[in-house]
Amino acid sequence: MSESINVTLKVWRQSGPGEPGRFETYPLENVSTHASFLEMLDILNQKLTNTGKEPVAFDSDCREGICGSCGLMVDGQAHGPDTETATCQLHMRRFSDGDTITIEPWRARPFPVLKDLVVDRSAFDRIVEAGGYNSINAGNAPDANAILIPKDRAEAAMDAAACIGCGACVAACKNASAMLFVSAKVMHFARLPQGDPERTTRVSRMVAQMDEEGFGSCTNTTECEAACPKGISFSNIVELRREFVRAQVTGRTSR
Amino acid sequence: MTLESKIPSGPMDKKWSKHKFDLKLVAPANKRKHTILVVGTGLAGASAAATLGELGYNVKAFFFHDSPRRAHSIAAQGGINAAKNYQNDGDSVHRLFYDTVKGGDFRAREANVHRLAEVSVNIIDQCVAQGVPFAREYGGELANRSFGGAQVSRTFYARGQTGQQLLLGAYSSMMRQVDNGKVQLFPRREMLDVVVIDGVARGVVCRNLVTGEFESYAGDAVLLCTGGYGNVFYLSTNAKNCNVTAAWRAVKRGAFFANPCFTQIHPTCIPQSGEYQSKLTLMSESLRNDGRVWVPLRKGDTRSAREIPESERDYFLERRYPSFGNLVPRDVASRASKAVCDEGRGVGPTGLAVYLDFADAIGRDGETTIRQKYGNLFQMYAKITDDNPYEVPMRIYPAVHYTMGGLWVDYNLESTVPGLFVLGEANFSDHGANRLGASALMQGLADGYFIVPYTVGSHIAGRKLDKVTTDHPAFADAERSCREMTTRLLGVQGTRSVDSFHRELGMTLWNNCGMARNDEGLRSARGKIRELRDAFWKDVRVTGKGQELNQTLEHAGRLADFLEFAELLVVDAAERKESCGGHFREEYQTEEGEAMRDDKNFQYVAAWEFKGVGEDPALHKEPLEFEEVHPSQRSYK
Amino acid sequence: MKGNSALSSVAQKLVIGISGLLLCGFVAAHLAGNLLLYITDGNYKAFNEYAKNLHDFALLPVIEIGLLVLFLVHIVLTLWMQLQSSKARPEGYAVRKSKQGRGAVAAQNIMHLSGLVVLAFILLHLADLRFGLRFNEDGLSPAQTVLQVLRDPVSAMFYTIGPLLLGYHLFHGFQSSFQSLGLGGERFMRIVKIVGAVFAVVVAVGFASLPVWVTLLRK
Repeated sequence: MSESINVTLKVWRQSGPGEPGRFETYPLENVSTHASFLEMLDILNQKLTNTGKEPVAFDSDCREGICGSCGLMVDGQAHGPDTETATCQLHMRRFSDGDTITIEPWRARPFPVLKDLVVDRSAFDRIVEAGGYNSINAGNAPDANAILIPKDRAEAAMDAAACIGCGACVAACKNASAMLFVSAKVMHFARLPQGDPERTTRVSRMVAQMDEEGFGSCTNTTECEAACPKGISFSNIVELRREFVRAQVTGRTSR
Repeated sequence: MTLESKIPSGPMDKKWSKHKFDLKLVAPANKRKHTILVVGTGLAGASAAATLGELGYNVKAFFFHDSPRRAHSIAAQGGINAAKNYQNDGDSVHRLFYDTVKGGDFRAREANVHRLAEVSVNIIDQCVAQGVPFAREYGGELANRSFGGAQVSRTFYARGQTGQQLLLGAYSSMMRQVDNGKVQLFPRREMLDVVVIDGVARGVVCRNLVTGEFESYAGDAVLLCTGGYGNVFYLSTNAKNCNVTAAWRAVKRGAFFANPCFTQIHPTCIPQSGEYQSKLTLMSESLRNDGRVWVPLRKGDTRSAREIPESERDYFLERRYPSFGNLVPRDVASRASKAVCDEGRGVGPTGLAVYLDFADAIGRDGETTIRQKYGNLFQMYAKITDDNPYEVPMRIYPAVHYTMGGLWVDYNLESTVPGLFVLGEANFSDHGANRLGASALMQGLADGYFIVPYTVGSHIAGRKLDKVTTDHPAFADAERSCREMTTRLLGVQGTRSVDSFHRELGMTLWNNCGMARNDEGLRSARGKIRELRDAFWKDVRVTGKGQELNQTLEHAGRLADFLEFAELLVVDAAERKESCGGHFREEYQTEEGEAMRDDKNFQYVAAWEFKGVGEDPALHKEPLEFEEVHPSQRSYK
Repeated sequence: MKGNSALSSVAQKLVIGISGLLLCGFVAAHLAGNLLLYITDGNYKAFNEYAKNLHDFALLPVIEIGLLVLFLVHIVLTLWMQLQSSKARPEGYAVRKSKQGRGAVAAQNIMHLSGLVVLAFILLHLADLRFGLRFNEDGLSPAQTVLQVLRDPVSAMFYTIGPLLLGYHLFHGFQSSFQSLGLGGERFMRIVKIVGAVFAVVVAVGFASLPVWVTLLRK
């Protein structure tokens, strides 16, 4: 494997929200294959700055795949070609000398572009606001071991709770549906006894908010699951629907 | 000015209950008349915002991320301590308190630490009720592991993502209060100034990072929950955007900065691989439960790890510290790793790494067991290094991870500016000179859920707070000074990138104020920092405009503060002529190379008062008294 | 307080799924009837009797209206959702690539297109065999009418392509319906996937084999 490669980047540039954007092409030479994808963009930005041009804006923070800040469409794939990998964990050894790499922001109406590759994902916060919580005040809680939770149930809840809210599911879905995100949150709580009291209102309100934000609807293509950097399972979506039906049939659906 | 720690009187284990009773209360109907500004939404900020909202206050929460859930607390891997004694292995509030005071090398305030240990049990209850999916045993009860130098199993965890789950718990509680209309979120806002009116913190000025506008917000208390300053070293395990800006701007408004030289270097990080490196990645301390740390016996041994026979390996932690072995606290492990690398026995292309070997553990427990325990960490390591840690040992090296120092606060978590409270990593209070593993999450949540909600009330009930609006001239003044700084940064129009200055600052600090420090190095570092600061203001190139989303400008502003703060860091390190915890002065060590404290002269908190850029700061000392745990030399042998 | 609304995307999808499954039942019954054509004995006696019984069945109009409603619900709701979804991404990507190794014309990705082609085919089919708009010779038995239609080369082509696309539609549609209903754990879903694939192939081959047989094999 060669230690450094030359690549050509086609990067979406957009000066602000609602402004027209375009692709700019930047050649980049001698990129170490050990560099991460975002470090490669750092190198590009350093080069742009040195030549008096404006660097490419992109969100990133922890750079170890957990904060969910980064998220780029790399050659038409959310977070790039690897599976269960956030953009910050993608490394240049995945690319070959001479490659042209197209980099685009997440695209969805509820995720408006703020600048270049930076999008606004606050729609996700508003969905969580609509019931993605247990109503428990600080100081009210019973002893942590008062309610026993079977190991497999706790693990199943954790599987869903591992979502990092990056938005790759929306970005990869042909309908820009947010069902994987919403179902992960709904099922995290639904699998725990502590989530029981608000089970029906939670699913109804979160789904309603998801629709209100203008996400598309799920047509079961499972592309979200393939794009998810945390491997959140599509089966959460199926189970969300069961939760939803149960809520309509038996429970309170609003508050 | 004398520092009043406001430690309550009475026996150690009654202080907090007594104090809670003594604190003044705000009547339920009056709480809704008060606004509290919370800056930062990590564990401390989100938990405080949620709890204050639950109590009925109006809360405004500010954060520079796009969502509160991105705060760097999310990256904590290992776990959270609590004195539950679920394992029946002899743990207690007193033992957690004792371990923390000792682990902090007797530079923490006893009363604060005891309170932390007391509320630790409530934190776990609260988190479980919120739906945090902690690891469980087959019988359904919570699982624990032992962590970072503790001889009991008191660490609760959610796979290798404990910080994420705890933060999502606090975040969801906060979002509930947003739903209830009690908390208002202000995303993509960076706090740039604290507004002090009649000596009390009454507001903040933020830059809206999307529009570039400066915005003022008034309130009755300001809570800084803005994390640590590890990124002053450029390379650290902190997220890219962690910064000292909010804390430093508060310092310029009269808050004191305590013990900045207490920085924690974490022993198990993935070594730097090249010049382009943007940050370092931590490998959870829990790996040391099963991994064995070693280097070749012989200097310059270039054989691959598996070719080196057992007899030619030096398991130096097990050799030097037979009773704790690979599980010695972070500061001790880091220094030992540095020592063997300095001897020329380091491994990897740079010679700045030691092996963390799982071959024995895999041989003993099987690969499946190891995969279950550490699968996600091994996968993360493999992604970054392209090595398979199931087959070859990991290469690790210490890196800056956590900062024990922070804004000085009293027992109420209030800084020297009345009404300005500081929570979590941003304050200095609980970890002394070294933090034990799995204690950061505990402290952030303790401050936010169980301490500040009481003490803020006392501030509001106990002080006469006139109604203040953003029309007050102090807000216009603060906005003006923020605007001027932005204009100045954009006006330099030099030739060097912000990043290049930051890397240079980091290198200067790492070399002179990192794992080992000495007087000469610290002096020269101070000079270099001043030169670099001058060079920055003459030659930095900040592209773009002020009235737009401009990440270069954000970074430049943060670096400008780091360049001022760094000087305080080395001043404090030079002033503390002893070795303790993460602060290791080469002049003060035992014959065996262990840290040598000087309790006679340095058993105090160094709280620094800002006197102007480039001026010597003024030192205020808060003497530390130990009623319960008597200072002894820490020994892990 | 956020999030209260009645007919959500999840409920819509549920209705599409239920109608889809019921239509699958209709398709299965229809196929069973059609396959009787292969019994040529007694001048297609089996098929003709089946057709006669069906036509004489008193509740046939009710069933026909029911089917019409099912089709309309299935189609209108799907198109409505598709319209909403297309609004969810006003600006598309310059480059797209599936992480499941699927092409742009994978069954999942063109359900509305395969559905529309199937619809066009069904309209033609109704015109031919329900309303007799193209071929209308008196005195032919049901089987002869069918054979007459299929003997026409252009029709044969449509009557081959239509069912093939229907199979393609069902390949995803069958399992997707179960998922939309929220049915099944992971094991159940695996089974449904296999059953769905087999059903899709049987439907496609079963219907499409008739024109092929009529045109090529039967003298």
